[in-house]
Amino acid sequence: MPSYFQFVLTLMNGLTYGALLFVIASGFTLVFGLMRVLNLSHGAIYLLGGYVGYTASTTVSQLLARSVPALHQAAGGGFGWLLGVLAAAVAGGLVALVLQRLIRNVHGDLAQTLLTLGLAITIGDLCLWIWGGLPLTLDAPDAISQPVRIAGIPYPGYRLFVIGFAVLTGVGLYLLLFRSQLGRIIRAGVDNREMVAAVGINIDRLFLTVFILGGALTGVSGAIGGTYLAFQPGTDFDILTVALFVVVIGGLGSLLGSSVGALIVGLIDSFGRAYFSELAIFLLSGTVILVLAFRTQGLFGRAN
Amino acid sequence: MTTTPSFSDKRAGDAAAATDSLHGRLRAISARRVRRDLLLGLLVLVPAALYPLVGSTFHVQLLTSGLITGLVAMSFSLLAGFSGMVSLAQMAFYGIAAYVVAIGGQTYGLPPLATVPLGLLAACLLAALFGLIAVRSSGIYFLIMTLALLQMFFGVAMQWQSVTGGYNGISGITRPELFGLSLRDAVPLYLLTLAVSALAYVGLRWLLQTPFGLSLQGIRDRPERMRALGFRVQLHRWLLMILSGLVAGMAGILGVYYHGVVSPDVAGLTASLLPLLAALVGGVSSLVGGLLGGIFITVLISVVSAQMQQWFNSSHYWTVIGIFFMAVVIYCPNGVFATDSRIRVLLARALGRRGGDDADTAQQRR
Repeated sequence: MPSYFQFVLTLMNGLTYGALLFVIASGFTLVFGLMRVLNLSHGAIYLLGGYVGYTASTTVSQLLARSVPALHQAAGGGFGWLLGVLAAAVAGGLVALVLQRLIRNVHGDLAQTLLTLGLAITIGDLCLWIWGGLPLTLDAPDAISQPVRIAGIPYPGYRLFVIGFAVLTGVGLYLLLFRSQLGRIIRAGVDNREMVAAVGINIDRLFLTVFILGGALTGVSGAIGGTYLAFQPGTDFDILTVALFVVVIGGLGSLLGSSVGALIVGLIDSFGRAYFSELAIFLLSGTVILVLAFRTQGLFGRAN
Repeated sequence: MTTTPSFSDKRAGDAAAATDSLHGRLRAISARRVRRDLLLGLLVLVPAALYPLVGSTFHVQLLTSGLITGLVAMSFSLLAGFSGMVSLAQMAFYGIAAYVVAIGGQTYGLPPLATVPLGLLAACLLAALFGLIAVRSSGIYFLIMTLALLQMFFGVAMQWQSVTGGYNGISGITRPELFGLSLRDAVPLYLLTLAVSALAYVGLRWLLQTPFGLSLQGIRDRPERMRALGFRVQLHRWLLMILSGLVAGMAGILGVYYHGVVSPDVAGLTASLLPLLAALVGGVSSLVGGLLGGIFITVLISVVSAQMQQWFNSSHYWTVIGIFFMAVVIYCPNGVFATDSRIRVLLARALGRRGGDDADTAQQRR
């Protein structure tokens, strides 16, 4: 039954894409919730994560294959890939650090948001300068790329890994935000930053921590997403678009909203492409407009 | 009231006389300002119109492109400076007008006499639709809504291939004739752009001093109070949004004739940055600043891209422009020529004037 086959495949692809979108959007929404800064360089950091991860993983893999071929064989490219993901995290965190330093000089939400737009353009063009315009992907390690049978249909193992990673990220962020002291401070900062500063917490350092965390998470999502979705110049704008759609549907600043929004966007995108091809974008845009028309603050957002 | 009618009448009469004289004085002042502005306008317009006599074709084209960017910047400043709505969606209005003219002309073979009004109408309609969704939010949320709407436009332009031509867009759009002059030459198109820009500017200036325009500024500064006074805040915002869509649409039509091609890139991040940058450089609270900023930015990009080519053999001028944009946001948030602009302070110091005063007032304002 090809239609059954197609349905399951489309569903799985939608879930995978939704999982990746959740990881991308959670950093976005975390930073927005605490700082009211709409980080328009989010897509650029994702793209940079992909490129840095690509360079790091290919370089390490080549070095390893040349110097210790036995180990490289045994790891199945796993070392290079893992280091690529780590390098992407570092790159994302560094960009976030720079951005936070720049943002401190600017007052007002809107000016800060415009500053991130300038950074997005700069990073995007630098990436094009360094890595050129060809689409790239990272090589997935053999250990997690074996096909797995789901409902009788073979499905790429790496995509299941992406879903697992998203679930882990979600649980991790939940524990961090709602079960730890740092999370309590962050949530207090979301509600009333002056008060948090007044009780003696270094709010600047808190912001920096969250910003770097969000940047690193975005960089990682660039490497992990870039392992199964090719990235190229322009991907930064695409990723910013879907991340924005996710948080606008789900509600800005809400982790639960991000997860639901990511699933909605992922599934609509996947089914739209499979069954309506050209009209997929209208389906997605229509959903966003519908949600906004009836709930300006998104499904799980608090009224502003 | 009936016991002292003469007293009360006298007071009312005095008050009326005082109001009359105040009105008279205000009218005299505004008449003087209008005369001064007209004179200034002519002083700028006449040399600008005569410029093609001395300038090269390349520079005339540069000015045309700058004015087109400036028009979009003006439509941005109209919203941001006079109603507090920072809209990132202006290039969508530009884009839809451009697409309508391109599709109408190329696909359906309609004459410009039909496509140009249709393009403007489409820009107004899209602005009305976006406005319906966006005006309910304000501040950063308005910006988010407009960015989401811009991205929707980008997505539709990219993926609706049978109509929009997808990634490549629509090319080969020929310029029409106007008053027997072919716009294919650089100079007539430049003059047309100059005339449209000047008319749009004068029209918006006139509109902003009408009761409608004044209540808009009231809404920008104190939306709650204006609402309490009975003004229909959202209706005002919505109408202004449509108006700014119209201005951006004019720019879109000039732009599609200037470039001869339209693609989804017009609504991309980099293309949307340009009018923002122009408006920021000129100062968001000034309409003419947008026009001047547009010219400034276009010339700057031309110079930077030439220098990048020469020094680094690279076409990546956007890196420089992005950094420049960030510098403007950090150092001159109210425009390069505003009193708190660091560039102006530094210039004043360099010229040996006492820059300390400017710096002090800037400090106080923070």
